[in-house]
Amino acid sequence: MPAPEIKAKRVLIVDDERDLVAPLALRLRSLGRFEVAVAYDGAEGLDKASWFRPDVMLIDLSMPKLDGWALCARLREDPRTRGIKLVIMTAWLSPDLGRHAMAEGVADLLIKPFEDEDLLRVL
Amino acid sequence: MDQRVSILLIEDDPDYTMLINVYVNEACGDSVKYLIESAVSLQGGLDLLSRQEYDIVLLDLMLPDSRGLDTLDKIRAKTPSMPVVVLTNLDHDDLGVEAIARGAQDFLSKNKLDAGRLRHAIGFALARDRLFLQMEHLIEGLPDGMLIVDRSRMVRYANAAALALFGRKREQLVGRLFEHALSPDRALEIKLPDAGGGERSAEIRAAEIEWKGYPAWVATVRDVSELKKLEQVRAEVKERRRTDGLKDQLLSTVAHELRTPLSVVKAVIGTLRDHLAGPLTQDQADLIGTADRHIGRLTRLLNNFLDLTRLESRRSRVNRQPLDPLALVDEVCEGVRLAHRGRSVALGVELPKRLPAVKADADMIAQVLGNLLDNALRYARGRVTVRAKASEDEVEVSVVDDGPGIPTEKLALLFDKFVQLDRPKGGEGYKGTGLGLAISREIMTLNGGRIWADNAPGRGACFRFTLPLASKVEAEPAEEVSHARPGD
Repeated sequence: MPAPEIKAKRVLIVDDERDLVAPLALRLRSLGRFEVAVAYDGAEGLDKASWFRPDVMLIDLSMPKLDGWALCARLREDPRTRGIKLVIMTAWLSPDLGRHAMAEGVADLLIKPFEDEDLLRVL
Repeated sequence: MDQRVSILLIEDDPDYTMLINVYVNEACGDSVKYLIESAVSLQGGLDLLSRQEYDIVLLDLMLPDSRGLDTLDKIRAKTPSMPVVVLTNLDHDDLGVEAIARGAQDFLSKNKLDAGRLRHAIGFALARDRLFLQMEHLIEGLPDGMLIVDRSRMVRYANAAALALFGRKREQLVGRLFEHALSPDRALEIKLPDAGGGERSAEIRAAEIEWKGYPAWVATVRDVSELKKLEQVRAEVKERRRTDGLKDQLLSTVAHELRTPLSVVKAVIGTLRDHLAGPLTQDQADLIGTADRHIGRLTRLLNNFLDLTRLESRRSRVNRQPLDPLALVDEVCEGVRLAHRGRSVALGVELPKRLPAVKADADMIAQVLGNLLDNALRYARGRVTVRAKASEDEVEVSVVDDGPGIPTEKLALLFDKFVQLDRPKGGEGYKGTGLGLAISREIMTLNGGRIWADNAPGRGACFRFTLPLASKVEAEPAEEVSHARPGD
């Protein structure tokens, strides 16, 4: 894995689907432009967000302990994490997904399965 | 008012005949004149009745050729609507009462007879008769069928509507056995043959009454076919909504549940393909490439599936806005050219300088046109041409290729789900989902347009769709946007 550059973007992936997190993290790390941390549930994501200080978080919606929407809300509440760019990843398309995302201050949506270009575009 | 009342007296006793003649003359006044003729036997009376019209019959029940109530029955059988006043002897009042029950209007005791009583009885009988006639007209003219059925289930009366409903003549119904058992407790539903060879539903309700002195049923027969049809349609709509809801939910759940594992496989294969997990031999790279293509196909299938489910359940929001069809066609063609770069098929565009604005959801129509172009480029031998023209109400866009064309027997099925034609010769093994045209048709329907296909044999296929002109579409409230997948 190439060493992160000084200005590397810090990305925190929060998803309980470990099998998806692994290749995602591998891809981002391999590009060399990202410093990547991972969390496997919402609570861990909240905790890591406070000390890893990511620029962007990729957040799955349905997760144990704290689901994606709740995690977004908690991150918004805390002044230290308020500035993180939030991206929701989900396989579930609901008609009010876009509206909900807007209300929670989510910057972008990734619908699973997504293309590598889409991933890089939102980052 | 000078009223004339013609009376037929049937009486075998000459003394009474004379007496009654006297009373009748006495009874004549300024306002009413009585004319009387007489017969001395039942047969004589019946003969007169068949030759001449009378207003009322004065009937002695004891005649040489008929005795008792039987006499009345025979007169009534001959002229059912004729008012009859029965003449009885002393001690036979019971007979008189029974005669009334059998249809006589009144009875007179011979030995209590005088002009006043006679006049009274005749006047009363005629008034009762008029009332009865009125009632009969009323019942006869009821829009619902009405039947009188006696306890032996014999039909005694049927009005016009009943005859029409049963499709029978009076003599085919009245006097015959009624085939349905009547009950006051519940409405009976029966099927009746239709004039057109079909079937109608009728509802029969019955109540117990006394009819001419006997217990009987009065039954109304109402045509409930329309009501039934409506009920059935309602039930069907309800059931279809329910099953559609279940189907949508099931499809949606399955499709969504598949997306999660699919996203994992896609990410893993992508990692291998891009050598992120280490270098690959050529064989490994080929195999991974194959897997990657099929993941792409699976993804398209799932997305199309979800698209169609949403379109069919009308859950997609349509954002119809006035738009320039030329700009839309240009933009889509440009995108398709990029995607098919390096292929030998040419994409030509033949458009007029100007076209009127259409009203449509731009994203949706771009999806339809993109899909048509994609198909055409796969089947074409050397050239695909896009044309557009305007008519009075709509703009028609056509996509023509020079491929093998569409087999005639497939033309009608083309827009159904999961219908695919044979692979184009020398095609790249691309397999569509069989949903693209079904989605296109749903989209065109939602946008108030049409889509169809035809071809000239050996000269390729031609797909056309139309969109209504913006100027022809009534202003409708703007619907909320967003059917496109975010991130697309």
